Amino acid sequence: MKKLMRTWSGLVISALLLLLAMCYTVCFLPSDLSDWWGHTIQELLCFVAAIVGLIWIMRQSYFERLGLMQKLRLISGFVLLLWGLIRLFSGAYPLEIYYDTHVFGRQIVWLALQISLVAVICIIILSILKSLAFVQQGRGTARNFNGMIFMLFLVTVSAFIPHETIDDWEFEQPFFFYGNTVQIIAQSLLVFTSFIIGFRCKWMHYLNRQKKILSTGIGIVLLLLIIQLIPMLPGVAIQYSVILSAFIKGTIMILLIYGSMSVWGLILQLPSAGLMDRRMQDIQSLQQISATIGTVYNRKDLMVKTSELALEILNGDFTWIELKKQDGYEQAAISGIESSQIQAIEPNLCALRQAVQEKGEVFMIHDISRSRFFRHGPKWHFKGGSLLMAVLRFKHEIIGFMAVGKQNAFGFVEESRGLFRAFCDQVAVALENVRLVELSIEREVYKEELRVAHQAQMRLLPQEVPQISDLDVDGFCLTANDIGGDFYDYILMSDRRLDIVIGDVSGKGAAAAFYMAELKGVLQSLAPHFESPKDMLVQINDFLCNHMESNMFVTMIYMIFNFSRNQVRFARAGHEPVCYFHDKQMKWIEKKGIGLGLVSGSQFEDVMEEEVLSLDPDDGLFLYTDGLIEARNQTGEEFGRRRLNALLNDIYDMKVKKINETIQKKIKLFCQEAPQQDDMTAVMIRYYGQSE
Amino acid sequence: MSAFEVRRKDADTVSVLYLKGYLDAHTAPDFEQALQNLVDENRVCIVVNMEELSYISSAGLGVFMGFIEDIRTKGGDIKLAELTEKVYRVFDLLGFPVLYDIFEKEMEAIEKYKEG
Repeated sequence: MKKLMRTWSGLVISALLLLLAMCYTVCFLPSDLSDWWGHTIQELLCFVAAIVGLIWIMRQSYFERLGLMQKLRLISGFVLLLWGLIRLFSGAYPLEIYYDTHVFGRQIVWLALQISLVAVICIIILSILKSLAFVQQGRGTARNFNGMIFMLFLVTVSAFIPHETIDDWEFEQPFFFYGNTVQIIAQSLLVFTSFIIGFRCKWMHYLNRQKKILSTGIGIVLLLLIIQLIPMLPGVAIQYSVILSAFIKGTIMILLIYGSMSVWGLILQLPSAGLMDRRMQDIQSLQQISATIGTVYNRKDLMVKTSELALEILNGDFTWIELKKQDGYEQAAISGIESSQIQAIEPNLCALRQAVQEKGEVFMIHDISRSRFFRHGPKWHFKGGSLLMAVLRFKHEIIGFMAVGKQNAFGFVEESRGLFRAFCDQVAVALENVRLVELSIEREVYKEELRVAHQAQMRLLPQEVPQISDLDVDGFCLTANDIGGDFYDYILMSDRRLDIVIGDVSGKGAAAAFYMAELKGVLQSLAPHFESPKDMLVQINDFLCNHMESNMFVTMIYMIFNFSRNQVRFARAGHEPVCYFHDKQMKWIEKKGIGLGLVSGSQFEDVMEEEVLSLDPDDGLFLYTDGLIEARNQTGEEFGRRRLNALLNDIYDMKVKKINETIQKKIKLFCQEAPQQDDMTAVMIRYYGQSE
Repeated sequence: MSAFEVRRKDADTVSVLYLKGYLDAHTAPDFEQALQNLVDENRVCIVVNMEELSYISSAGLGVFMGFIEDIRTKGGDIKLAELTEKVYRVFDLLGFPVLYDIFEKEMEAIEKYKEG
């Protein structure tokens, strides 16, 4: 409410002052027509009302917030109202009425009301006109406009100055440029400033062709109506107030000048209006492209959308997109033309692609029938058409071609090139986005599959500890990647025999994991047939030499516990040594033995030695893979055998599970944030034995 | 992590490869390529000098195994020289000393070829 008051207060005050002047005139003037003071007070009130109105025009900004069409509609409406009101009272009241008190008493009320209303409407029209002139406001616009308003003020104020023809009541005056020198100067300045403001009609650029035509029509009609008012104007209002008369005439002059300049401007713009619309449409199209294809992450959808947009934006009849593949090009999208029709002209296209690529820019064929690319070779369905073709490029790399064609020759103008280039660039970026999205989806799929593989591999490791009263055992295997080549296994043959094996397939990843899985099966099936670890390893070696690539190998320790004899036998095939805890002493046992899969037959067998240990209660054995001692911290330092040795020395009398947990914890502490490079596996065994 | 580097020096019929840095699954292809080049040129009397090799992983060891058979059938060999203690330990664990001639000095390896 307060805001509303502030916005309209100037206009309201001005209207109230006019009402006051009217009341004054109606109540007092008829009693004494020759009262100079009476006239002066009435004129002064009107003058103040005009001043308040002018100040309000300069200060208000209400209409500037309205839409362009709203402004135009409002100003047309008010101009029409102005015309109606002036028509209504002009000529209806002959000069005589002013002196005929009988008529006067009845008519003056109407006259005063109408003229006051016209004055208020003039104020409103000027403020709307200001809002129009202020569209895309320039640096001097406000100054010029205020200058014009000031000139209107001068014109109004100069009406006070009496001049010679006062006796004729100015009926014979021209509509403008009347009166004494001061008045004429003021009027000339008003015309001049209005003329300057008349150039401020940038709003018409924002009208589309249709609205321009409409505005021109309405503008001409309104202009004609105002011109029709001109002969009536000299007499108008003077009967009531000289001041208001000058004000209204001044306003109409401004309106006339601004109106005719606007209409003229509109007429000049009409021929190019279509083109301007086209330009605007181009800009909108490009926005549409980025908005539409920038958000499509599905290749098929993107291609469909792209061809739709290409036809729409470039007004084409057919289009196709071909994307680079390892060998040649693949049609990714096609519209308005059969795929076979394009395949039919493949020889021509090869040459065309070459040319487009060499040119680098948009390639335009105005008339396909005369083009050197289509003169020879197969006859094409679209002979006689025109074609635009350009490379799709992302970061200087050509990813494909896009073409848009028309069935008629000379279907494209030079200006289409820029638009098409921009379009192609957008398409290339969108395609790259799609490629990246596809890639990341693919990666996700791989990751998921690796995760499944990891789970599968983890199930190949012992799921539970063998329940043997003589022995406690615990193992762990931490893979560096999702799948790895380390493994360990327990093979429980009877309550008298348990085989424990630890191994490391060279390398990491899928290949290592496959061999690891295979080995598990081989070990399980071979174990019942062999009593000696060495025989077992020789057998596995033969198998691996025949089945494994020459640059891969496996290291392994095979251990057989015989609880009947309180004995353990083991052999080492290139693997890390075994740590043996006996009588509170720690000992590393490293028997000779070559890695599995390196050499076959007797060379392997001859080298291999077997260890036999008699077990006492509380004896322990620790097996591990090289990943454990080669674990590195951020500075590249290895955990090393020395640290492992010291650690085992500290903790060897703990429970087996606790020992493994501690080792994992210590290594993690050592490595900190450094990524795990290799698989880490360890098995800890504690023999309890049976008291003899 | 120090990068891996292979340099090559030809002396008469013998070619010496100098390995430097960190030979693992990532750098093994470089070494593989160097050996392949020698095989392609039919220079199969090879000495690998590992004085500056700081680490060798199982994938690195695999490279030797991948070539040795082919080279030996062609009448050549891969001899190892100047292994650091740490690298020798890796070869030793795996049983390589049985499979390969390992020398303390590069010259000894070259001499060995000349004798043979």
